[in-house]
Amino acid sequence: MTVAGIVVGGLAIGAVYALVAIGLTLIFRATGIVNFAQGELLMIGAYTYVFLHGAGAPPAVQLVGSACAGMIAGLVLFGVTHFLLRRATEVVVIIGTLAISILLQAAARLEFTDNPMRAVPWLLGNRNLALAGAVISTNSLTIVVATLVIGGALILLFRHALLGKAMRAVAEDPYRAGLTGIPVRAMLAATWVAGGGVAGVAGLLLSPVTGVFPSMGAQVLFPALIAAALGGFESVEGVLLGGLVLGVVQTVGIFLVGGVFRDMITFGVLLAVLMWRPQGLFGARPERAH
Amino acid sequence: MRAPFGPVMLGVVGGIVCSVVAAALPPFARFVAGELAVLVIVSLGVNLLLGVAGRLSVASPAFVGIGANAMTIILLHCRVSVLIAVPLAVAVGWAVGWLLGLVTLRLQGFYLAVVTFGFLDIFLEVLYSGGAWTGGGYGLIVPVIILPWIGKLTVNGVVVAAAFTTVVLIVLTQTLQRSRIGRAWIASKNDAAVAELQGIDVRRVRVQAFAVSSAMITLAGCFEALLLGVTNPSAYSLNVAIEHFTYVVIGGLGAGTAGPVAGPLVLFAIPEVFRSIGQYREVFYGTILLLTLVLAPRGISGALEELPLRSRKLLRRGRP
Repeated sequence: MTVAGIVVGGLAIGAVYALVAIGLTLIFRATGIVNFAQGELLMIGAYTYVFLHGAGAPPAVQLVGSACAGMIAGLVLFGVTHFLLRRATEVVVIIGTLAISILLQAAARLEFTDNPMRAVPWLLGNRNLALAGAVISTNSLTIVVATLVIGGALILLFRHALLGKAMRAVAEDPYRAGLTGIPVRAMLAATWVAGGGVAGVAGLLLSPVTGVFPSMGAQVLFPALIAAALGGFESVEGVLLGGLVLGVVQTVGIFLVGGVFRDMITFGVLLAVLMWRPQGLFGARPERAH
Repeated sequence: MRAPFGPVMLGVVGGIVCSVVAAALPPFARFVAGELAVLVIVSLGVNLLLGVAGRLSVASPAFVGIGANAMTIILLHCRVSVLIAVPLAVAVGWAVGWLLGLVTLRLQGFYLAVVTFGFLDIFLEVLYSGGAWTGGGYGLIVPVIILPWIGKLTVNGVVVAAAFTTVVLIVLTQTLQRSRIGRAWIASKNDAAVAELQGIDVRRVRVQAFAVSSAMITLAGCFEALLLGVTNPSAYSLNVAIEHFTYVVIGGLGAGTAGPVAGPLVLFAIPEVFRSIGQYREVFYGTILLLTLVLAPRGISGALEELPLRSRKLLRRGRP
């Protein structure tokens, strides 16, 4: 493995963390809920991709299908957390999303068993690219580019589009946003849908790397939470950067000290950062009083 | 109302009664009773931390694993009596819990959950890559234990000991929660700032709660290993933490010991009665947990407390 190969591989895995973390952050920012079932949204997207690919759908349909599957699941989660658990405390909601995560995983296990399903990389297939002397798999590049495009689109959405501004306003202060005529509940639902859609695409991108199995999302959840914490649970930019940094640090670390310690590296990075800055690397505000 | 005995007497007498009852059960029911005792101890520990001290940690399975592994490793390598190995293992659990509490002192709610989740993850990694020390993915086999006067320690003996310990711990926990220390935990959960103003050292309280809860769960882990005869690395995952939450939340989170006892009793009894549940176990737990959170957020003990109030309301509504 060359240095370039390692870095691009790290960026690719970091990009997947970042996508899941963006969903987590959007939802947390708007609702104060940390969605422990976010990884299962990714899993749903991945299974959708495998089946669409198996059915011979064109790449665009695969992408839209995975995203839609994640969005629908996100909408369902919105319903559960906002209507069924609306009066619950933070701890109860966290336990609730944990319960949903277990339910979805168990359902997938009953339906598809624990054996990983293999998936072909999206769009370009299994190819390698010789770039300035380094060999890089096109799939890693696809993941990084797709993540940057999605991240960029979301940043533009939140900066310039009316919808994005309305979502931000609701996240800032639902009561006053409501006073200005923004449909608060619809914006909250939109946030969950966006988070689910991003996770669904992450599933499509991750599936050729790890294979598709019920606990694939749960495995990504922990590093994604760390990426989100690094980004300070605040802005899409911060989380995107947090995910990429984490991916590269992790991959280089594994290359240096061995794969057994993957989660230890991740955890070490988190502990170091949280002890230094409890509000995350890029979070400007002190911790919210939720 | 004052109890006729002090807590110590109550615990000892209740423990002896429970042990005798457990010993009199038929073999399979006796084993189930042992498992139940383990779960009640775990729930008491989880409730102490989450319900009483208000700290959300998902690391409870890690401490079950620490208990099982530490005890077995001590037994295998040091050739000491189980009567020394179990307290040593509990001391290890206490120390690790104390450290984890110290490290996570500044964290709240979700951040705390993430860091304890990371701790659990790392513990599992260590367990799986521990080679001969932890038995890797297969776990360790608990050696045959010979006790003075009693002879070979059988499942029967373990169940009797577990039943006795459980009752003693229930009484101890109850006493703890009513004591200065326990009230300080509850105060710091309800409002840290107010607790500080009353002279409670919230930081110390949090570390203390972590250590005590961890030690209790570690003890349950020791009993589990003795009961099964093996340590089982696949039994310490996040899913198990969610099962633990399910017990506590369904029983009723918060001060008191009725909840953590009622939760496992109800939840453990149901799958044992319907043996066919097997592969749907996780679906069952997930569904029950979610339904409880939605319908009865304060669990069984909470619902029972509200029952007289609600029925009174219903009766009043019936009148013109």
